[in-house]
Amino acid sequence: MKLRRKKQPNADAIDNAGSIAVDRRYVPERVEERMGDRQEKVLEEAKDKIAKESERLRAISNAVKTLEYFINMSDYFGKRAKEIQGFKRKGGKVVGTFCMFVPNEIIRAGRAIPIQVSCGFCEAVQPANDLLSDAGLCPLMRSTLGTKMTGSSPYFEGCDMIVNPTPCDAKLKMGEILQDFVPIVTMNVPRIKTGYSARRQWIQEVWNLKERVEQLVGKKITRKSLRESIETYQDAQATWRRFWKIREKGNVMWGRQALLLSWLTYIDDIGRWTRNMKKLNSELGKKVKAKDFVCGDETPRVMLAGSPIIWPNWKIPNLIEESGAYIACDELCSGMRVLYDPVVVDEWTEKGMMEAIAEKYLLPCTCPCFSPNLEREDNMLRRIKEYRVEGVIFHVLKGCHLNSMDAAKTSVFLKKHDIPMLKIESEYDEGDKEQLRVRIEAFLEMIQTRKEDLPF
Amino acid sequence: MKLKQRISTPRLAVQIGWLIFANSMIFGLPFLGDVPGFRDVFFPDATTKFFQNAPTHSIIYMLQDRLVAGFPTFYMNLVIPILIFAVLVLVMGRFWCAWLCPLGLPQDLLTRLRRSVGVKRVNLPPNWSVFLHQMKYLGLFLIIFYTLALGFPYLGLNNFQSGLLLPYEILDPNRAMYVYPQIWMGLLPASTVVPWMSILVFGFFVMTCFPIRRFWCHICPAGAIMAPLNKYATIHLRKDTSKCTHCGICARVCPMEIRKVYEEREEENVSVANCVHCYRCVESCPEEGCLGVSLMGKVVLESKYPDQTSDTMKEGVTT
Repeated sequence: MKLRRKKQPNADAIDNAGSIAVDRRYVPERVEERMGDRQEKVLEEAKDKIAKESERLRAISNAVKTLEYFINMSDYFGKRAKEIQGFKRKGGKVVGTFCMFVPNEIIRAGRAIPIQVSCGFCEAVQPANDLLSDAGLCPLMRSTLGTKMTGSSPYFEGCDMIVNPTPCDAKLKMGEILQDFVPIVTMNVPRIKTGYSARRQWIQEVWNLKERVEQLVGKKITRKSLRESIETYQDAQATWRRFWKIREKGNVMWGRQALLLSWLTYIDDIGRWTRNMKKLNSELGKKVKAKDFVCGDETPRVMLAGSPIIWPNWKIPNLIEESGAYIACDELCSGMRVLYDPVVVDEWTEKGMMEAIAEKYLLPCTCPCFSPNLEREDNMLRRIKEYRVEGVIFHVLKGCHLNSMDAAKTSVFLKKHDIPMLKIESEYDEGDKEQLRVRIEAFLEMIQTRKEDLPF
Repeated sequence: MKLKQRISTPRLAVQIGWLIFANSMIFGLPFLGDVPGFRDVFFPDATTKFFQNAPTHSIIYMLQDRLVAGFPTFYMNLVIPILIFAVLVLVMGRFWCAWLCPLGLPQDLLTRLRRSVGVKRVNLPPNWSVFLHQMKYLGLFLIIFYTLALGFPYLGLNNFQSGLLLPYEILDPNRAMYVYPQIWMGLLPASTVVPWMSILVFGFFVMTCFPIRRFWCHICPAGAIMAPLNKYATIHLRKDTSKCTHCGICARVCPMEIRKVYEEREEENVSVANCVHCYRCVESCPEEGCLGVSLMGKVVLESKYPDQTSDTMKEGVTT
C-alpha cells in the first residue's frame, strides 16, 4: 500500500518537559528534592553491584582476551559515560531508548547517540515503589523510573530525548511519568502483526520518530547518512551472526559473558563494538579449532528465555551457570535477538530504507506482546535444535504478565517436543536467590538424569 | 555493506545475452529463425515474433494465427505445439518470464533506472494486485475468443479477416520497442509497419513499469497461459518453514508482490501462479537455507546470509 505521508502535527505534541502544566504532571513537585538522599544510596549500591558483577565475570577462567574490553565498557560510570558527557559538551544530542523496538539506525543517522536507559539497578526500585505505591509492578520499569527519579544513571541523565515504544503496559505508563523529566517520543507498537494495517501503522511511527530526531538535532536526516547508518548496523549484525555461528560450533564462551556483549550493543558505539567483536570472533574461532572449550559436553545445555536481563542484574544467568549449566543460547530481547535480524534494503531510496528498518523491528520480533506469537515458538524450536538445548529456563520478571502468560503456553508447546521447561519468577533483589538456586539445581539434575536415561 | 546481488546480476546477464542471441545474425550466426526443428517449439516469451533471428516463436502468436486460420484443419495443427509447450512449462514453470523474456528485461532496466535515480517505488495495493492478476486471464480469454470467432466459418466473420487485425499483434508493446531498433540496425526494411496502438501501449508500458516493478507481468496474457501450470512445475520455490523468522523481506522484495512465500507456515512448495522465478526472495532471505530453488526435487540454489567482506569500519560519532 502506498504510504501517504502527510505533514500533520504529532499526536504527542509535547516537545519538552517544561510545556506540561504543573497540575498535569504525574509527579507534581520536582522529585530531586524528595529523592536527594536516595541518590547516594542508589549510586553506592549500583557501583558496588557493577564492581562485584564485573569482578565475577573477570574471575571466569579460560576467557578470551578481548572480553576484557567489553567488561570495562560495562561500567555505567566509566568510559562511556565520559564520552557521552564530552559529546554533549560539543553540542551533540543523546537519545535514550527503552527496548529492541527502537530503530537505532535512525537515531544514529541523525548523528545522535542512541543509548539504552532501561536499567538493572536494584536499589532504584525503592523510590519508584514510593511513587507508585505498588510493589507488584514490573521491576525493570520501576528500576528505570527510580533511576531517573534519583538521577543516578549517567546514561539516563545525558539523554535529550527518550524513545519509548509501548509493547507493554508498564512501558506505556512509565513513559507518561517520565514525560515530567525529559521529552518522550512514544511509539505505538501494533500488537497484532497480521494484516496490512499493523505494518502501515508501524512504518508511520518510524517516520514520526525520524521527524522528531530531525527536530532534536536540527538537521535533516539525509539519504546518505541513513544509508551509512544502516550499513554500520548491517556490519554489526553480520558480526553478531558470526559470533552465534561460532557458539553453535563449540562451547567457547559462557552465556553470561555473551549476554553482556548483547547488552553492550545498546550502550557502546556500534562501530567500535563491531571492531572489538570481530577481534573476539577471530579469537573464538581459534578456540574452536583448538577445541579449547569452557565446558564439556556433559554439562546440561539450557536456553534462557523470557524477560530481558539488564546489566548489572546478572542474578539469573549467574545462578544458572554457577549451578553447573551452560546457557547455550537465549531467547531474550536483551540477548541473541538484539542484532540477529538484519535490515535488508531492497531499494536505497528513502522510502525503501525506512520500510526496511520498520519491518526489521516489527515483523521478525518475538516479543511476547504480539498475538498470535507463533514466531516465538518457531524461533525457540529452531534454536533448541541448533544449539542442542536440553532444557529451557523461562525467566519472568514479577509483574511481566505478557511473559508470564507466554510461559504457560510455551511449556505446553515444549512438552510436545519433549523439552523440559522451568519457569522462574524473580525480582531484582537478591532475596529469592537461594530459593531459585534450589529450583534451578533440581531442574539441572533432572536434565542430567534424562540425559543418562536416554539410551533406554 | 552492499547486499550482494548474487542472482540478480547473473539474471541480467542472461537476459541481455538472450536478447543479443535472438538478433545474432548481425554477428554472422546462421539464420536460426528458419531452422524447422526450432520453429516448432513455441517458447512462452511473447516477443520473439519481432526478432529476426529468434530461434523459437511465441506461443501466443501461434495460438492467434492457428485459431484464426485453423477451422478446416479442425485445429489439429495446434495439438503438438501446445503439448510441447505444456511440457516445457511443466519443466521450467514461468522461468522464462524473469530470465529470457525480452519484455521482462526492459521492466527490470526501468526498475534499475528508478533505483539509481532514487525515485521511490509505488506498491500496488494488495487488492489491486489480485485484481490485475485476474485481469490477465480475461485478456487471454478475449484474445482467444476473438480469434476463434474470426476463424469460425459459420459466424460469417471470415469475410472481415483480411480487414481485421489480430488483437495481440497490434497491442504488443514489443513491436514498437524492438522493431524500430532493428530497422535502425538494418535488420528490417525501413518500411516495416508499427501500428500506433503498439506505440501507445509501449508508452503505457514505460509509464507503469517505471514506478511499479514488473507491472506488465501482472497483466501479460502470455503469462496467463503459463500461470495455471506454474505451481506444478518441476522447478519451484522451496521453503524450509522451520527456519523462517517471518521477517517479511521476501514479501517486500518480490516484484510480483506475492505474499505467500512470507505467510506460508506449513507447505514446502511456495510457488504460486504469479511467481516469475526471479529469485529475488532467495537472494535477499537472511536465513541460511530457508528459501531455495528446487529443480526436479534437488535444491539448486539456497538463501544464505548476505556476507560482506568490507573492513571499512565506520568510526563512531563519539570516538
